[in-house]
Amino acid sequence: MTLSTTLTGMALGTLMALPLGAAERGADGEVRILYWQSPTTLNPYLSGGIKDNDAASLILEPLVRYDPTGEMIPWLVDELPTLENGGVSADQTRITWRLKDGLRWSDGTAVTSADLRFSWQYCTAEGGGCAQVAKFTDVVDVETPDPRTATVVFSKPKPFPYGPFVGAQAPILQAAQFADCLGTRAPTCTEANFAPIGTGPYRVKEFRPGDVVVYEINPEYRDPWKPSFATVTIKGGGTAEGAARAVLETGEFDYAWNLQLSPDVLLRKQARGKGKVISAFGSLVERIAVNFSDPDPNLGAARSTAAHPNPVLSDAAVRRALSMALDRRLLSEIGYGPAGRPACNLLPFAAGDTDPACLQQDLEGARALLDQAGWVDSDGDGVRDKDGTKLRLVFQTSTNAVRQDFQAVIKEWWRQIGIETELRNIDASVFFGTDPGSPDTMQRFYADVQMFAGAYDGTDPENYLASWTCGKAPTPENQWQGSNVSRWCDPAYDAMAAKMAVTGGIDARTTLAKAMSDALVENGVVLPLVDRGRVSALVHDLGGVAINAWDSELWNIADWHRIKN
Amino acid sequence: MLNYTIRRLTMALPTLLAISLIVFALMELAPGDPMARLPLSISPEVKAQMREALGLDAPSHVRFGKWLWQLGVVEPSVWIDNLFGTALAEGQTRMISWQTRGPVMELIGQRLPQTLWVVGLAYLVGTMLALPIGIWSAYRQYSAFDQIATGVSIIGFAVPPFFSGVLLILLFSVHLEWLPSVYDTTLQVSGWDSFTQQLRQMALPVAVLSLQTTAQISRYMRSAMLDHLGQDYVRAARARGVSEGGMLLRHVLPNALVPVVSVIALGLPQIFAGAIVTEQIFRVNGVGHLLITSIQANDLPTVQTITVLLAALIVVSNLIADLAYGALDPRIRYD
Amino acid sequence: MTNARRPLALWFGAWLLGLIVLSTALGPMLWGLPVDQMDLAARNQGPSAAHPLGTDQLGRDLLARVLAGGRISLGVGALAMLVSVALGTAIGVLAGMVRWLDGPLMRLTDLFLSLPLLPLVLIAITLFRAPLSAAFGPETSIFVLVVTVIGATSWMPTARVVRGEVLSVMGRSYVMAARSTGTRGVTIATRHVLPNTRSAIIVSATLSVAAAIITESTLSFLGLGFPPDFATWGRLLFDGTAYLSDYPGRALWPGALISLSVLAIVYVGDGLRDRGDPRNLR
Repeated sequence: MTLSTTLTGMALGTLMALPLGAAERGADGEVRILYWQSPTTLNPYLSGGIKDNDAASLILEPLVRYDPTGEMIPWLVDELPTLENGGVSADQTRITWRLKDGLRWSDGTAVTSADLRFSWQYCTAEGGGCAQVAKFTDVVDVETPDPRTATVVFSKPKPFPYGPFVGAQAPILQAAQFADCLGTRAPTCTEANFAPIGTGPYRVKEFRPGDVVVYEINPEYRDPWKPSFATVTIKGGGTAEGAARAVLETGEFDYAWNLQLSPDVLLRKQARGKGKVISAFGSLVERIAVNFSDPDPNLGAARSTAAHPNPVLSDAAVRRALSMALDRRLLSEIGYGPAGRPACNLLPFAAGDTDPACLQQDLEGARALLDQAGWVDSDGDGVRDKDGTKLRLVFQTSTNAVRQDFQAVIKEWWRQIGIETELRNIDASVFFGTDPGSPDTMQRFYADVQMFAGAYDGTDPENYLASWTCGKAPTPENQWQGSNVSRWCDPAYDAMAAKMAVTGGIDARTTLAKAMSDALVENGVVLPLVDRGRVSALVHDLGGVAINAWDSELWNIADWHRIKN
Repeated sequence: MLNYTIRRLTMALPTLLAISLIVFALMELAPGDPMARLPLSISPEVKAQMREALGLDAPSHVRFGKWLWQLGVVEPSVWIDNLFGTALAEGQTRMISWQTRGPVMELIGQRLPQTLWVVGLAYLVGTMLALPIGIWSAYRQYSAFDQIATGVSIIGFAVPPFFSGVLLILLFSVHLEWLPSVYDTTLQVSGWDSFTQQLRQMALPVAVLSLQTTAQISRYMRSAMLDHLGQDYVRAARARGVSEGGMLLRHVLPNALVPVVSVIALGLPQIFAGAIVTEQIFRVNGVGHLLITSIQANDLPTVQTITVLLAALIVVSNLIADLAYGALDPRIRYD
Repeated sequence: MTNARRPLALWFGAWLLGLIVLSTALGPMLWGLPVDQMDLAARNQGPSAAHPLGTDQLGRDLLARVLAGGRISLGVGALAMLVSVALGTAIGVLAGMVRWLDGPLMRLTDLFLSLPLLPLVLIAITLFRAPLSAAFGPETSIFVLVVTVIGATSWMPTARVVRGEVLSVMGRSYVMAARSTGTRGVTIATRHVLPNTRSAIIVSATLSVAAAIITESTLSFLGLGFPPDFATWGRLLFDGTAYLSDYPGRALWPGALISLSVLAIVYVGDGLRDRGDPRNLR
């Protein structure tokens, strides 16, 4: 039915069997969750951070959620609108949602289609700084024929119309509560942002931004038997290491989020017997991006622009050799342990089809390839050259312990095939910043290769893949705003992207997406390294947890319960 | 003395203004971006709109002026409104933190209690331990006690808290399972049970912090005592047959305490500043934690406000230290 | 009270410090393994003949890293101390000797004392890291930055103490005599004033070395010090704390070396102060 039906098997969430005889509402007391990055607001539209989205997902809900396999499941609606059932119009410009019967906000008032319309207005209001405005691209109206029915109208055909109100990033706000918070007034509504009224299983009891959120049961929640826990506490602060300790070693907390720690540390902590480590994989891929333009500082203003092709990396053989010299299995093991899988592709659902040779490090082959291409070490200094150009690369990334380990290892491998690498690391707040004046941002890309992780929201990769089209290259003219940091430009790829925007039907879209992703990898635009999952830990007597990399990690907290012996 | 106090306070104003300008300029020049920590799936265009919504595109002097106005006028009037139910701050925008979109002052207010409890108690415990240790070390200079006290206090000084903290957690939380490793800021002390729980959760952070305080202050106390023990009036007192204890407590201590009291007063602002590292390790989430997370998230209004409030506290405690000096040492005149 | 133990502390401190400095300085000659050499087959290993302190997560030899880290940490400590003492002494002497500069300089000292230092250090580091690293390369730049920032924010106590000493020396009869005979200020400063403030300066200096070493490690903890791939004691200690329960040596060696160095430096400072203190020469 959806793209995700073909994705079966790509998420490794440990789905536990749900309890047969569900316990009474609130019978299991308190569940304590540790987020070492603390939630700072409970309005996902104003933040965009994962920690805040997750904390808000106990309260605010979208119409449709993604389950751990990436499948869309109706959440506040009875049925997913499709072309087949008539929910999506034949010209694909309208999608009609019908709310569940009897839905109520936690203050007792009814949820109506006006709330849907308002949520759209809220996020698209001028000056509001909504983080999820991309979810509402091309929406021109939300019609409300009756209180339970809302029709989202797009300005052009949308083969994948499941952007607005789908997934944890785009939930529904209560119109009554946020009516005075449109546009520039959004940040002033502190009370509403810190305690939104929602339809979820919990509501805020106490919120201290950056420290702790305490939730209590929403008395109006639609399932009379759920949730099992009477209160939920999400505590923030500290380090990932300390969070793992508090669950796996001392058992003070029931659940700890995002434990990016080395695999042996996690395993030893798990061996203490208090709890276990779980993981799930989404679309986050750690990769090396290749710069097709010349970052030579002597070029001045024309540095890293498409006018000057990269003297070394324009050669496809070099890009191929760089990739062949990598041992992706070892990288994954060193850096991410249970939270990593070697990646040869940018799309998780294409992972099965990749060339197994990519997983195999091939230093000999890489050397032979470079020899063939004319890159030889003519002066015997250990660095290959060709026509007076040395095979020297600048390799930049953000400052982060795992990334610096990767840099060191990769530098060594590349040295072994005759490539000299200079490493740079840049503070994450600068590297990932959007300050057009800073020379060190990812977008400026004043280096030959750079490493970072990228992902896309939801399960449809159309926008994600479109970010490698020619027009999206950051340039001085567009203040270096743009997602095609490699400045790669291939008319054939752009044609595929244009085709993707008008292609309906799930199989056709999947085939096209795979072809686009393969083009990126085969042309050496990106060198995928590690498919990064989420790793969390929970104590043994916490039941019902289904870790989810496609939606909020706490998406099914209403089902969580205490396992009794 | 009142004149002196007033004069010092009026002199403090330009100092504070200079400090806030320095801090603002530093933050202004810093290359960070408050949107840098958002997921890459949010496009640069959207991030630019979010920056605009925070007012980041206004010129710096406008933002500095606005911030000063909010700190100096709006926030105090909100405070007065809360106390007396007036409506002075009606219609004024309060200082908003970029990270939370909530008022900065409320954030600081939420963080102060745990900081005061933990860091304040640690300072108190540390000082109470340091004074007798310093006195006895000096009196029995080079004795075994002195050598051990010196050794221990240097270790207290030389072991970074992120190491001693984790060590204590491993010992008392993981292996012995006696004490919690995570501080619960929502705990309300309402009876005996919650009080013991509060004591238990404070035990480890207070131990880590007070080790440092003890180490520093006992060194000051020791050297101040040594300065006086060698002086003629002590010999004269001994010759008059004054008992050793009486001599120590009645003659040497009051004199030796003068510089130590000012050292203690100068350390007071640190209590409000929180202990960044210790708070992080035990998740006390006080002011120090707020400061470091705000620096990491480039939340300029919060960082500026905390830093300037801190500077104000330092100025005030400098004054207290000087006044204490005068109260203890009648030879000093303020004019 | 016997004075017999006093030299003992001094000798002990000097000995220990000498040993640490020598072994880190001569480290590469004594222990041939390069700091950055990885052995991916021998990751996270315990002590063995090939790696007496074991290896880290990339199979790098911990002994080589501890030795290399010592050079950086002690270097940061010593240089930051020089910056701080030079600034402090210069400002203290100027304030004490030149009457019209006394007021402004002491006001400046008070201003610096009122600045909340750790936040400012953190801000300054985020601020200057990028431009400096463009100019000097990442490692040198962060070294320069850490040294300057620690030095520039820790000179105030030295300045105050030195000024006090200078004022008292200036009041002495031989200095008055020298002034009245028209000896130049610089000569008075170098010949009469500085030698008399020596002990105060030495004590400040030892404390600054210790404080700088600790500050460097705290910066590493907060993610603002040297980059993660760069071995310093603070960095190694911080990285090692994550493995404390599994591979205690990873944290304990750099930790112990930090503590021992600070201990040695403080003992040396105490000893030198006692020697330089005229009251103890009686």
